Amino acid sequence: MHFSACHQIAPNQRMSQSPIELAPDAEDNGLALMMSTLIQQYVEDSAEKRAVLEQTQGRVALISEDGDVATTLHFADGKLVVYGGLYGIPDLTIRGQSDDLVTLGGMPTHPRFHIPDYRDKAVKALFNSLRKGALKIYGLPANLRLFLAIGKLFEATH
Amino acid sequence: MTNSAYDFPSEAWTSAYKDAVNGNAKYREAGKAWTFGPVAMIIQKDESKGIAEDVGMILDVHEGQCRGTKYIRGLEAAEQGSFVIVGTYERWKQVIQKELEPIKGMMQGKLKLTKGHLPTMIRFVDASRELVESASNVPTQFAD
Repeated sequence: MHFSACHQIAPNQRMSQSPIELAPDAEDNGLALMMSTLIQQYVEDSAEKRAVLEQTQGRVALISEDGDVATTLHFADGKLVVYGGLYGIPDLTIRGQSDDLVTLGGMPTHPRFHIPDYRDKAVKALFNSLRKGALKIYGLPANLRLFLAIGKLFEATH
Repeated sequence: MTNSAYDFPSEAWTSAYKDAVNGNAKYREAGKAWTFGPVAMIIQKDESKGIAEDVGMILDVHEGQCRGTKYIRGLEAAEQGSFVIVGTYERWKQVIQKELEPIKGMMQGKLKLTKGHLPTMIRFVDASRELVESASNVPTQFAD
């Protein structure tokens, strides 16, 4: 495996410049690996996203119901630790089908207004899932700032 | 399976896959913005299936077309791909049989992206689905 070539973070191996760490228990968790790789590459591409990550505080649980897998993103002290499974009490929990989590992970946004681009087929499907209750977000009212930070981090780059 | 089915994995299957991709109108549409380089799919060594070393294929996909395919041996050869996805024979068989969607497979740790820009890849979920659809259209003889 050529993890260094893909910026994948090897377990226990904190990249000296990286604010992202994959917890040792997360090495076999595909969703944790995917999220750590995704966020790592986003922050490498964008200083703005890196600043968002460094300012964010809180725990976000992501649960893929059809994939039967979960991960916890713990933002604290300018860093992110990605855990395999649920770890601690999440401030925000996002639970849904893997397709919706993937859409969230690369949210197409309007190039001018920086809000979810409703013209995009995947965004429409995401809002449909929210409406039908297939995608559930717990803890949103009390953690709107955390949710917006996650949205910014996961905003697709144009 | 008929006599005209292609052994998977093999050079012949890889070549037939190119035709299947180019015959898929939905892929042409979903992949038309793809300009990010070839994609390598690697099947890990599994002697019980007669796969004595890592093998795979490189798909030179570009703007909704597959310009060429190459059957490769060894992980080093996969480095020609801008994106490299690795899985066991069983997982790829599930993908071809449409029992495992690649992105979901990655979430479950059944397939691994070992090289490539994941944010780009997930922008093309529909294109990846159509690549799977194309693979399922190749008459396939599995090793088991």
